[in-house]
Amino acid sequence: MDLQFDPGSFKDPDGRIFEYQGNIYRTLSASAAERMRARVADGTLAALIDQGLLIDSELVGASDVGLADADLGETVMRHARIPVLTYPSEWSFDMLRDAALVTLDLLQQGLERDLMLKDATAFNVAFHDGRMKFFDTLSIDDYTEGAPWDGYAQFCREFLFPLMLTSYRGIEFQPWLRGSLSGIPVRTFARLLSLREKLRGPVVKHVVLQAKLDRSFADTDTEMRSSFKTMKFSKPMIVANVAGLSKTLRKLSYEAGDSVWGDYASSHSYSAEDATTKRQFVDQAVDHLSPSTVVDLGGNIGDYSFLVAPKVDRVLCVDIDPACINTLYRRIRDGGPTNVVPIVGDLLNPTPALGWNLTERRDLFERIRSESFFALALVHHLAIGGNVPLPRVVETLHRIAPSGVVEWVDKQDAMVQRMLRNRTDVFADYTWDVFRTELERRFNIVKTVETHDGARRLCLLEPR
Amino acid sequence: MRLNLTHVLINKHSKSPGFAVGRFPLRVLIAACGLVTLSSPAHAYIDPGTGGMLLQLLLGGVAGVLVIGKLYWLRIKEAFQNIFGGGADSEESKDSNSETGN
Repeated sequence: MDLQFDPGSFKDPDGRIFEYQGNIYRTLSASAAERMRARVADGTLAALIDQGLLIDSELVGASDVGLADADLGETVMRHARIPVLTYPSEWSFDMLRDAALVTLDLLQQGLERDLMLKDATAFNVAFHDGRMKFFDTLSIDDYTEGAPWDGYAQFCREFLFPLMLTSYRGIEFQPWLRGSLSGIPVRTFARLLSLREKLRGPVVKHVVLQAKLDRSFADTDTEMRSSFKTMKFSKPMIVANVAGLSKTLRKLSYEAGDSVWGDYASSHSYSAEDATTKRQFVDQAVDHLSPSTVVDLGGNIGDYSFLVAPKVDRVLCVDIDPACINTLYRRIRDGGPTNVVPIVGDLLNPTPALGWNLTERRDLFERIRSESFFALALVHHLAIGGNVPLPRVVETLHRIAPSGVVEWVDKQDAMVQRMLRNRTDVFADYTWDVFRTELERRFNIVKTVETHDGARRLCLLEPR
Repeated sequence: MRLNLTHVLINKHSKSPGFAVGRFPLRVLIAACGLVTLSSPAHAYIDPGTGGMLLQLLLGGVAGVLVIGKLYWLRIKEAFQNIFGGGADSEESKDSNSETGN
């Protein structure tokens, strides 16, 4: 039976995600099945799905989908497939914030229905169909009178603190979340804020006080801990805390810090004619290649992703600059094509395999592989900026997709000249001839068009 | 500094009335603050974090503030006992030991 369990789904004994015959399912323990049946019966799942907060999920009989012999219990849950999963370290500011707000919204509605979320990790949320959506249905549990919100500290570590780091200090959170799959610990985060921040109400509450209490009592022995269990926490307090966090998050403004690309359009020299040529070339390339999936490498704010989105199933737009991806995400959220997936990523340092056994979270290349790539105004950043020899650049492009559009940028181009102005030119092999030879090893160059008076060339590449 | 309430909560054989408050079991303190003592419902899927739990206690209002105040007070008391009354502590233990030894 060809059943693949998701290596990243193992922490919850109540159920695990698996793939079978192209569908995504979740096993359900007897108690989990009962819980989920109750959530269907009381309309909770339907309400959350209708509002776009929760991914499409339904209960199905194991035997009805051919899994009678799989020994997975009577009932499983089927979820809509998320074709390309991205991780919090690959999200931009508004993506992480919206993921946080979705979590809080779900929790607040849950509390109204006497429900609670078991945890509050950012990995419970995914970008899907143009929005941030919760997908860990098993996190929805029954509310126990007097119990605290167990996920509060985790919510702070994985959502609130990274967002505050970026908003208050202009430091992008992505590298931090890649390095630490469990977010920023409270005592550590308290050290990162200046006095000015520490005078803000929400900071005093969620950072200063929480850190102080954690520092004072985290090392207490088990006797103290058992007395924690006898403490009672009221629901109104939890509801108020959730509402307060939601308000605080909404008020944070995105400070892009030292974004290099914020000013892309004005600082990059495309004449109107060259711009039109490029757009037409890319458009026609997609007509020619007819890919169902495209990955736009170094896609900036997604102009070319948007251009071809109507013609393909899905476009992944990867860019190193979180400010650009944030702009792209906002454009999608404000009515842009929902088949474009924004991803913060650096081709010189892509997300590696992470987590338990190095299989819990998969590396970026494994997830972004597509039928065609766009490498527009990119190659010189890798070869000159990153000192990657052209053969290796081409090899990696080919690893990502077997066809696409690449833009060659000659050494005489203004941008490259700018990159070289303070450096020794060690790039004797950075020439069109070398590049073309490498391309011809792996692709079939169907068409070439020059722009910028010959300093740039667009190439349409078919699979070889 | 470690907060060691073991001797507070277990030692029910305190002979010295002067330490009555410090020897009062924490459970009773919480009840005295108006919070209901429940048997543990805490089947937490993840570790809620000490700071996270106590912060929520604080957010709960005056009662929570009082409990946390008491926890800090107990720490201070312990510090003083260690500095000034180091002998008193061990004497207490010795007393209880000899009692149970009978």
